[in-house]
Amino acid sequence: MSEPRRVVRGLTLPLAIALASVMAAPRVSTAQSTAQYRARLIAALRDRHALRDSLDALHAHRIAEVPPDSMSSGRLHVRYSKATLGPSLDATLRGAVRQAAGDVDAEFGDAQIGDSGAVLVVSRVNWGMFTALGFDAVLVELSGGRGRMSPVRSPITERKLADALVDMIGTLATDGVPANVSRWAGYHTPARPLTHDDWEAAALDLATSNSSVARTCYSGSVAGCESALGLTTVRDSLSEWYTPEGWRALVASWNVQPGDPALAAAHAECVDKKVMATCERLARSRPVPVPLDMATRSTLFNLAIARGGRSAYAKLRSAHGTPLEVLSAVAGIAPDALVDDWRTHTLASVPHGVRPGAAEATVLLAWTALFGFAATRRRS
Amino acid sequence: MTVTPMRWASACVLACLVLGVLLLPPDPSPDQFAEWSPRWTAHEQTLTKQLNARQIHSRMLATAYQAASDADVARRVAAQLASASARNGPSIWFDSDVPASARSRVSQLIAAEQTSRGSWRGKSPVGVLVFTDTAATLAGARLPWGFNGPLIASTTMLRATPGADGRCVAVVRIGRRVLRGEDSIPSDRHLLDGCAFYDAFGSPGAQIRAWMDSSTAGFGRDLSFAPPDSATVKQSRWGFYDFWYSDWRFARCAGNDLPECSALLRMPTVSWQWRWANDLSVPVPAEPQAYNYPTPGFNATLLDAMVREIGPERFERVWQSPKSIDSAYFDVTGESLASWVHRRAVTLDGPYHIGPLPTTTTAILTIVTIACALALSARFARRPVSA
Repeated sequence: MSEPRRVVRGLTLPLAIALASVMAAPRVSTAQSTAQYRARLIAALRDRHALRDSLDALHAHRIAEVPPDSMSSGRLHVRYSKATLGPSLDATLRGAVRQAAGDVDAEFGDAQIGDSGAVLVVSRVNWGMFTALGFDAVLVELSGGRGRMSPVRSPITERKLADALVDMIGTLATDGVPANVSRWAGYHTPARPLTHDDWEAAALDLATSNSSVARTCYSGSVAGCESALGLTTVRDSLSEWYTPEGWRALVASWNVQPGDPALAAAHAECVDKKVMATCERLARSRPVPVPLDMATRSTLFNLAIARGGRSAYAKLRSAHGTPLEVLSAVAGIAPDALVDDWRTHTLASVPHGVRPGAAEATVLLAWTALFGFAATRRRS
Repeated sequence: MTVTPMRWASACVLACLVLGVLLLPPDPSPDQFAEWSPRWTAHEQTLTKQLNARQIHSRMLATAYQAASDADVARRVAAQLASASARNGPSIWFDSDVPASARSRVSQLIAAEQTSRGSWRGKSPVGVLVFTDTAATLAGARLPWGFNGPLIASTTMLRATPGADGRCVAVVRIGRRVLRGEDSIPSDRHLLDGCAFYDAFGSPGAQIRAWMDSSTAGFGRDLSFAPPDSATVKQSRWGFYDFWYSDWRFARCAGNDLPECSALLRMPTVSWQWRWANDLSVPVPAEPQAYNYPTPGFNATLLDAMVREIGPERFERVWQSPKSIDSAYFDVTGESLASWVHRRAVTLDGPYHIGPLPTTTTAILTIVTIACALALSARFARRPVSA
């Protein structure tokens, strides 16, 4: 090989690498005008939407690959690929669907969940940031591009899968909750049976509230309960829901930024020196919270659903009026009766203090006797 | 067989290979049971990554566009802002869609912020631009959730150059929750942002202004005359908004490496988007980043801490000095600025020791351990048997 050719061949690779580096290097942009930024932003947003559409289309393709009639039980239709799940998960899923179908019927009754029932897609995925370190999980998602997915992680049991399926259907059942009811509940209308823990939390909220109407509710006033639950119209929420001592409690719960000496001083004046005029001024500067919290309000919602029986969700979709009127229509009883029922349930769930039983008393006495005896022996 | 180094190394490599083959999990993608549909999955993952990158790019462009647009508005309404006198308080310009209730609340909060500083106000003209933050589309393109972010209010400031009179301009964006009446701007929110320094102490000296510009005003974004650092002040001032554990420069400053303390003040304070995103196609905006919450962190409250420590009178002399911030601070206090920054770092995060730290106890323990090992060896080691 001639010398010039050897030189050219020797330089080709370094030059190619250098050229590729220059071309691939990120281009550092310089400051631009508002119009240029605007044009680039609009282009980027459109590009993003196109990508989003492609991703949605791809997802639809994936869904289309799964057999449409994999398994049905009642109004529950599940689509999945047997080959993907494998025989063990297939058996677990079959058991879960049977359980879930029963739960759905008991919990949602005649609720409309999709045009011809709920269609869920179940797939097996590798869950985790790194594939090698990930673990198997089952993904449950609502068909029809509703976007909600719920992973069931290992160990995958029938109960866990059934709960995930029922939870998904709850999304469909509470779809038609009237907007004012949803707003009243703090956008929290969980479609599931209440547990003892839910009631106990509500009872604690009621018993420890610093609101005067919550206290009247506790001592027996149904009207007080309706007000404390935020179900009645109030003209001045601060004075109607809270007494001056409650204003102070509200202000005391603030985390005041020390960067504002005027506010810090006023806060101290209210909390430490108990100047009620200052407490009122401060309390009015922020939204006044509904006395009973969001989780407590959801117990009333779920109680109305439980009282309403099989037609509760159907009635919920068609009901009109204030949140209390809607819940009363769903439960099929008068508003005051529903709230009274809620109060009875809540008070029944107040946790009792620890009372020593016969065993504890015996152990106590035994220890006392033992130490007494030992002390006597020592003295002698 | 003699174990030579080469044989030992070969055995190690071989053992590692055996362990690798036996213990490492197989690549799950070829396994038909591990993935739902591998050919779609790979494509979907690629698209998702592209979408995420495009999302970050769009957010950075939106931030840069908003900063440039704010500066444009400030220039457009400069004459209107200039018509008010500094003595009468900041001149406030409201965008046409800001409702009356929000206008009243903003005016009330700004007046209260000024009043809380007593006579320290009205030293330099300040303007405030108030917008709503509810845009859902831009030229028909839908803005994704998170673009019109603050639910309550966000604040930022523009560099003091847009208007003819060089006034500092604060920008307030009112969020959806306030506009819907579901929330109100809390009374402890300082809406003047860093412009409060201009209002309280006038225009800064030339070199200090240049330093503020070069750091996008990142060291002075809030002003209060609260007492010097108490435990609660420390708690509220200290945050990871502009600092994280891997900030070696801060750690060295806390360890009394004073040149690093000086260097800390020369670092550009870049907003989180530019700090985390690997996207150089959108330049860092010249305007400071917006804060949705009261300004936290070491950087953003540095000048505020200085005011509280040396007092407003002496701080005013530092602020208005024609010298650099280091020289001005030294002239007024007799202490080097680096030393003060070091003290500030220690106040917030405790002292730091650079390098290893053997204490007397650990040294004694080490010597005792070595002595014990030697004694045990001498006592119990087997002696070589002589032939």
